[in-house]
Amino acid sequence: MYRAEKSQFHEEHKSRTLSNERIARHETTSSESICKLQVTRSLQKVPVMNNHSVTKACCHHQPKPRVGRSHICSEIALMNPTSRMAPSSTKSLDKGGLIHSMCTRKTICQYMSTSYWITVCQSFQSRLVSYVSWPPSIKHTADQGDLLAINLTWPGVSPFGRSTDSNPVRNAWLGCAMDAPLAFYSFVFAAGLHHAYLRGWKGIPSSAFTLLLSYKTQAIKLINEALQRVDDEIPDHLLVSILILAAHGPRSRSLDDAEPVHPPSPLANAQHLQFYAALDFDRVHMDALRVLISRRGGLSEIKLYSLAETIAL
Amino acid sequence: MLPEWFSCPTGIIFQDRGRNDFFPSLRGQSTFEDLFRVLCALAAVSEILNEYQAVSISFVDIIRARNTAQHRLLSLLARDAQENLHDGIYEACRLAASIYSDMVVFPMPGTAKVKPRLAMALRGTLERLQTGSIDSHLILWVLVLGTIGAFRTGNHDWYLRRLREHSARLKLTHWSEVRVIMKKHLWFDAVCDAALRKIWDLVHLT
Repeated sequence: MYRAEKSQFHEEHKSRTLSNERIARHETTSSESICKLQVTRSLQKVPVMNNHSVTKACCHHQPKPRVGRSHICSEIALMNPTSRMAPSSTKSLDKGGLIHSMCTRKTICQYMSTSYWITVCQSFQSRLVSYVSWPPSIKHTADQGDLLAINLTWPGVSPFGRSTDSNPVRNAWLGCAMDAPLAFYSFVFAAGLHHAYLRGWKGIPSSAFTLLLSYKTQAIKLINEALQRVDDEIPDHLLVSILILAAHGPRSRSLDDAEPVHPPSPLANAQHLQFYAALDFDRVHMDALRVLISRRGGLSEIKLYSLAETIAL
Repeated sequence: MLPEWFSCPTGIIFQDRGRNDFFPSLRGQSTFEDLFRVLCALAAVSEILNEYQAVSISFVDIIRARNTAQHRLLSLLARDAQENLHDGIYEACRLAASIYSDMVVFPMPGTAKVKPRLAMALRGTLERLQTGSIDSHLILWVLVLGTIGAFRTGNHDWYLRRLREHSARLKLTHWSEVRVIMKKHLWFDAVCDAALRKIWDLVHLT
């Protein structure tokens, strides 16, 4: 019933074979230095059919703890001992300053390692909220949520790209999150919720749920501010923020605990449909989204990569 | 309507391998050409799932293939079963294929209640259809999927009755005999066999 284009698959398969890629991390003691981040990664092929277990990547980091609040990753290393992230840039933060101080956007797209993105997200978080004052358990939850969003949720929902390292959805959406606090709060809220779902809803502390709620509240506040300016512009990051809030409503009360008539399909968890179905769709946000898209001129006017398709899905 | 490239290009190409026993009553008829193509696509995805471990196909490509198949299925326009017999057969097969897709190819969680709604629509189609002049194996496949879709709903008893009458007409006494017929249509053993056994037990209990 089908035939596969073998040349394409063999090429992709090369990147998925067992390999050990050891990269050393170099740091200098200079506060103005730029770190070259390298990651030790072992790829393990798992013959189970779900979103992230075709290959499972484990990152092993060996950071050198740093002293000094001006150093982003030293804060992270000190406050979140489980992340063990490497320092990246030490230049001062502003809205886009962190990204530019680390490297150009093009270089970011080339360096798609987990560590870089975690570092970027954590640094952005510290700029936006009082990350330094969070208890370690909550930071761990937020960090895990970012990790999940970057490596699991976003690549999983939209299976674009041949390799998770260069997933264009992740590139585009993370760029959007970095550019707009409005989008960032929504993303982190959604990622945290997904993280909680994967842990059975009770695997994270209740204080973490409070934090997620604060993120949602902040996102709603920023959305309301942006809605005051819709006569001037309806940016894509506003649409993606509202979409995220629409898709991540309260937990569904109509869970069916009865034994199903048939075993689950191998594709039951593909594209995280099980997660999204565990949540009720927020009609208020969805109705608002429809109005805004109509004002923009339709889905075809949306520029952010894969946003139109995701809204349609 | 979204273009098909929404699901991204996939290296998996759906094609009819010329199995004459695959939906034999629909094969080669222009009325069912679009429908048959979709059934082939769904069967191809099922075949890929069966052979996943044996062939070097990436999971991402499987997802793209199943999204493509689902897009084609949802792009089939509904037809009024009262118009003519062919439209009735088309609509019954379309709804049954949608139930199959919800079980195997594009499974939505139970909370979405996709199968019960499809089963209700299928019942409406079957009630308007003169099934006597239709391929009995095709009707059996439709009834089995409808019964699975209607499980634990208000339509379940109706389906069980129709399935019991139809299987008696075909002189089928064991679920394995039903399975042989099902495998000539859309069927995925790992998911569908257990459901068939369950409803077969219920058919003989009521």
